[in-house]
Amino acid sequence: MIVSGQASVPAPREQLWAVLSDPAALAQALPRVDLVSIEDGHRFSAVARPVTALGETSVALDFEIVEQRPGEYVRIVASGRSGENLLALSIALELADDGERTAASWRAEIALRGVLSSLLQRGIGELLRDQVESVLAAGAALSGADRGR
Amino acid sequence: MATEGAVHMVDLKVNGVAHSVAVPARRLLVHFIRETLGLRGTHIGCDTGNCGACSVICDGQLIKSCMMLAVGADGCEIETIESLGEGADGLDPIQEAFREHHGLQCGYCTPGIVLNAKTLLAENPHPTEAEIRRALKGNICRCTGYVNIVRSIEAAAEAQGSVRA
Amino acid sequence: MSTPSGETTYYGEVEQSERLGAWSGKSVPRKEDKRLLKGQGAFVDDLWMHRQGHVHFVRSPHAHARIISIEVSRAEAVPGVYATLTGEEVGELQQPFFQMAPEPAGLMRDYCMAVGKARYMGEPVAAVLAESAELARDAAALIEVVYEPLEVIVDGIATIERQAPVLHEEIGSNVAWHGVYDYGDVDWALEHADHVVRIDRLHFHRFSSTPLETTGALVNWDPGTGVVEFRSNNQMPMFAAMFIGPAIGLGIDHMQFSSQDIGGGFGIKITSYTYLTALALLSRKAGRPVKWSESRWEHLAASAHGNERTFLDIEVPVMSDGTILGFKVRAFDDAGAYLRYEPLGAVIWSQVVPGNYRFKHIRVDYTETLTNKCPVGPNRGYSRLQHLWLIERIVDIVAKELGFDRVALRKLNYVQPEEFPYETPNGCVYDSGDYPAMLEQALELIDYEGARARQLAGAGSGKRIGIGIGSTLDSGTNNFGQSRIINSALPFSGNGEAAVVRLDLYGEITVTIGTSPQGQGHETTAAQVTADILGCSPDLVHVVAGYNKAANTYVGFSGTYASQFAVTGLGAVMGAAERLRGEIVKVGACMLGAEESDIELADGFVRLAANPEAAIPFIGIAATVFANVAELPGELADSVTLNCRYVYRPPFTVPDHETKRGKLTLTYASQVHAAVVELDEETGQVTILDYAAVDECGRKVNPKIVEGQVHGATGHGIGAALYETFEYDSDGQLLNSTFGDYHAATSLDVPHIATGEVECPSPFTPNGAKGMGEGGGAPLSTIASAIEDALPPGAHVVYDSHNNAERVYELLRSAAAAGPRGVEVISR
Repeated sequence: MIVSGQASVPAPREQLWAVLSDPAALAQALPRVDLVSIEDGHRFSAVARPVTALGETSVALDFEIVEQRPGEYVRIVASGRSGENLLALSIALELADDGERTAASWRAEIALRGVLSSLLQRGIGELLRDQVESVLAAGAALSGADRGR
Repeated sequence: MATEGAVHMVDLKVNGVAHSVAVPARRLLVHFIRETLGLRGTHIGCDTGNCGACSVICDGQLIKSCMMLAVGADGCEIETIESLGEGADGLDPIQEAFREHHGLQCGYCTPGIVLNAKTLLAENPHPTEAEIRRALKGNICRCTGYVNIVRSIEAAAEAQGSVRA
Repeated sequence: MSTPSGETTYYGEVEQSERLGAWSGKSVPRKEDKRLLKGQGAFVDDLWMHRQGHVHFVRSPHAHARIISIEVSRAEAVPGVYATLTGEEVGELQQPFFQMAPEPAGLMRDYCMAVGKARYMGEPVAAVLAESAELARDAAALIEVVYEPLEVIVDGIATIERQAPVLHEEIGSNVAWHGVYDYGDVDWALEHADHVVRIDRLHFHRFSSTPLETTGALVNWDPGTGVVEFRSNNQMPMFAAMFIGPAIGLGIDHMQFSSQDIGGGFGIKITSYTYLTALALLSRKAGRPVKWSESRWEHLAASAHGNERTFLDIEVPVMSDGTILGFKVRAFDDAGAYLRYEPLGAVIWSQVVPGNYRFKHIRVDYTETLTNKCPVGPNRGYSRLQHLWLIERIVDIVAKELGFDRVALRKLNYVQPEEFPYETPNGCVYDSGDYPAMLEQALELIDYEGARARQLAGAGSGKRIGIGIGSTLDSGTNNFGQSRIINSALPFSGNGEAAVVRLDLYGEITVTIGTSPQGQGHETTAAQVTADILGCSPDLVHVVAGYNKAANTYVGFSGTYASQFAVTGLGAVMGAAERLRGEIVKVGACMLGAEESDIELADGFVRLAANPEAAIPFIGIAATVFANVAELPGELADSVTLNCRYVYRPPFTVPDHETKRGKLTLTYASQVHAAVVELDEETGQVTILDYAAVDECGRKVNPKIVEGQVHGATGHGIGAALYETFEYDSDGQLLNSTFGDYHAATSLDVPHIATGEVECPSPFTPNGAKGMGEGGGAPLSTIASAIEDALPPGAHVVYDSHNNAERVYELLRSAAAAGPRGVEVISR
């Protein structure tokens, strides 16, 4: 399944990049995702807890930042497991100047295996959009003291 | 994970009988009804709240008991299929109508459908066919093709009407 | 002949009884209803055994993958977990299931769980037994399965190409069976016909009847007696026994099967023997009863689907007057990842080779294939639906292309009423019918003329009206010898069902049958025919509810499937009731000091016809035979048991494997449906404005029950035609494995169904009845027919049995697109 989107973010590219390139910051910015461990500058594991009708389900995910052109482009892959369900995700995000703002565009390929391929097919796009926009918003909200880290 | 998580006391009435029971937080109302209380007339037909086999009446409203936690029913009055008809053998007029008009085949959807009919007729004593079908939308039946279910509910409405008259 | 157990068994056919009539033919209210209405039914999840554990299956998320390892230790360490079972263990604990396919497909190694390799998404790879269902599920999440994903194949035709990944290495390809059925001389017909209509491709889609109650079982392997008890909702228990026994090394006599109420079966609960086997092995390992209730997603992904069939290169020779000589086609049936009941589907369709028509020249080149999808099972209308849909599409398309009226063309080509019994090109005999009369009735029920007027009036309104017709057959009472057509080595032939009708100690009339009903009202209809024969009210006849191998009687074919109960089940009941009647009369005559010809039975009494006051109640007969037998003359006492078992055996012989000919089914119920639909040009949405179903099934034992089956079959067909389909992506993931995504037809989707009937008693059955219940899938043809009728000129033919809004939208636009229409006509 392919999901894509665009956003205009009220912050310069470098500021957003601070979050996108840092596993700790990324994990913190992702909503309903708890950081489990950081392996190195590129890899981290987390547990996501998307809300379902009567509670939440948990998905254990391994993230890796596989490609980056600082300030411009990042591609992150994630693979995860929730019970017998498997999830594999590859998301590429591009940043471009838009005056004082940043025009962000992103494209994700998601493969779901197991009953989630049925249950999540209509919700996964929104879930992902929510995640991406939260990360971008987190980047936009960074104070002066956090910039340039 | 080996523990079942938090346990809560729930107090509720089921078919007029008060119960005060400790239940795990995640137990669904339908499992509470079937397993904890041993009332087997409420059935399970799906995992996603679509089929209506688990329908019960909660505080006068038709609900899907698989879509509610038992803890969520604290303080509620629940009626299941077992509350209809006198004793072990009596059929109430809605059930009689279903019997007369062959409104059931395998019987698995039947308790949910009969309770649906009960709440419908309480609210709308003279429903049109369209209104009946609209009300039944949340109950799936795979055996009858719905035709005789509609007929049964129409007959039950008529019988109720003539009793009142 | 009587057996030491005191039961007298008779075999054979039953002459048409003259005694039926007081109760048979009446819509007697059902005995089953009181308990079902009050929620007192006993479905499998309602059952409970002391010390039971609950089972959760770990299932493969991959459609095709090698299983590298399964680590269960973390799950087993959880307090309250009783045992686990993996595919690796299963590979040691069971022999592969018996395969009906000839080699090489017969070499398939099919186990109750994935062994070494998972071949469809949802296939069970391990099982956990724990003290509660929730704990079993929690523990299952701790089981680590390492997979090596393999390439997936989901296309049922591409799967036989050399580059496709092979599912079962031991077979060497994904071809499960291939054969050519060739009747008459279709090449001659194609050469000499005035027109040849060529249709590129038609496709019958994959769906299921999805009974509301999912599969479930409570299984206990008793270490003391060595008997495995299966309390399950399997609907063909003796077939299941014949597969389970050899697999786990158990004699049939060491397996007990029982069920009382089953929440719908529709053929989907036949192949659950694989799960029963896994449960038995788990029970033995754990030393406990095991209880399993399938969740809805498991049912949709991993129980059984209906057959999916693609038809290519269809050629139809037609004469100028509209006589259709026959057709030739290449058919590909996609069986999913394992065979189980297949490849019987490769021959079952040939019960209705020419459909309702007099076609003489037919060639079907039939290939059954394997793909990474859920295995198929004999879903309602098994294998005939697909073929009958093809034929109706052919008739409609021929009519449209050559400018014939669809009604007139059907009437011309139908088997005519005076031609029955009618022998089809492969030696099947259609017992009786009147298709033209049924068509007339169906058209009247939808007000055909009025609908045509509305169609014309609606032009340009943005809504397009179409009228459709579908004619089908429901062939009932199989000759299992047809299995030899696909594999001459199979040890099956004929058919039969068993019943016992007896008096209990106080004269209570009791009936037990080998059938396993799922809502068809067997308790009621069996009571009706027994009541007729014994001259009493059905209220005095106790039919034991449900199936019970130890308490009831059975034969190898016992179960409830394949539209046959009215013939086989009731045939057995009638035979047993007649024999019991004979014994009661004999004893009564002796006790009354009269001739047997002076005796009549009425209201539970044996009495003198000339002097009804001289009467003995059945309790008197029973008490004498069972507890006071010294009062009877020795010869009489030796010849009666009041416990009469009868095996109804329809008159079948073994079909010819070489020519693929034979009498494959005993009865042919028929259906003609008509519908008026409205297409929304903007959205493709289809609304059914009017729907009529005309049914013919011989003498009806209980008309209301019959009508209920017609409604239900129609509901299933409409659901499939417009709402229900299984969608697999190229990764083999089932995209609609919940009722949120698989749209089971609701009360707003199935319209009111007007029903009509014609009665043509079968000359071949004990009661003139024909098996019915499955229906022939007429809604699938009828709706396709109606949609096609509504499309603008130049549109593509309706090529698929499933027509959701998106597909109809495309069809509507295909007219303007002026592209290929999927059909070509060559005329002399």
